[in-house]
Amino acid sequence: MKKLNKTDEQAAFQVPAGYFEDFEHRLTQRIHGKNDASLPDKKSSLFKPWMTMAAGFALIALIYTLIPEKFTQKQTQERTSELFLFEQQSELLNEYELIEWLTTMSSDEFELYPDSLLFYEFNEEELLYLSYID
Amino acid sequence: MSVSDQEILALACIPGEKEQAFSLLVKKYQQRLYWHLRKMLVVHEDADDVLQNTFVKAWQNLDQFRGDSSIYTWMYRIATNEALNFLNKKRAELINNPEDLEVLLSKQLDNDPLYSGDEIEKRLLKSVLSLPDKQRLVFNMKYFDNMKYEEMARILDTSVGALKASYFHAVRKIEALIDQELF
Repeated sequence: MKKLNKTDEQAAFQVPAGYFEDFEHRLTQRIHGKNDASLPDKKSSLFKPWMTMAAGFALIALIYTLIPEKFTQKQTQERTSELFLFEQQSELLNEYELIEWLTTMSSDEFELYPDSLLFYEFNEEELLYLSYID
Repeated sequence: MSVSDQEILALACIPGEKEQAFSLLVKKYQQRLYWHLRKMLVVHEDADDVLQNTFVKAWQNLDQFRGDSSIYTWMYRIATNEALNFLNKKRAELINNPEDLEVLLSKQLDNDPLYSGDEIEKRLLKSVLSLPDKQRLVFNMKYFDNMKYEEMARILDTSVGALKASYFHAVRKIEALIDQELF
């Protein structure tokens, strides 16, 4: 591999005229510009703690109002999803599978009532048949 | 006459003299750091941007500099980390682009009005660009900057053995690429 010394390689890369002479000046402008912008003025430094406190109280009030609502919503959602689940199950299972599923569950786990959504699609004959299953 | 690092640090400790000390630091190291960055980033504007970021960080942290290493090693490390972060950011921006970063840098080299290397030099640089970032760093530091492994180990916080292995593999890859005349 041809050995390129530092001079060769640097000669291949060039910089705009006066770049290094001007660099420090541009850098200083950037540093002092950054510093000036980052200094807080007196007004905002007095105002900030009050704003923070007010924001804190507002947040607490919001949480206090929203949490009960969310909890109620969640319960409603859970009930709705429970009903939905029953409906879905009855659609997914054919009659035989449904019977099998019902019979494998112990009576402690699951109680059936005539008005249960599970029987929504069942006619009287089918309901009667089910009642004979152990 | 060149000012020593100790003199610069001593000056920086004097109240009201930090700017003067920093100015000496910039004059002393701007070129070396620039060329290190330029080899990594290829494009002058990117190297300029990252060089400024490097010196801004040095300015902000000069008071915390403990002297565990030389100032140059410390600044070189800042510059290196800034360059790697820059490349990672650029790579992330190209996530949906069919071209990867190496292809982009290679094209930028072809179109760069501030690059006037001959075909052999260009081919070498393009081969180097194909290396993973950290391996490229090791190669640049050893091949172009003639840095000692011990100094590289301090800058990159890696063992000398790992650096030697990395450099050896880098050289093999580049030789293979140049021999195949892929660039």
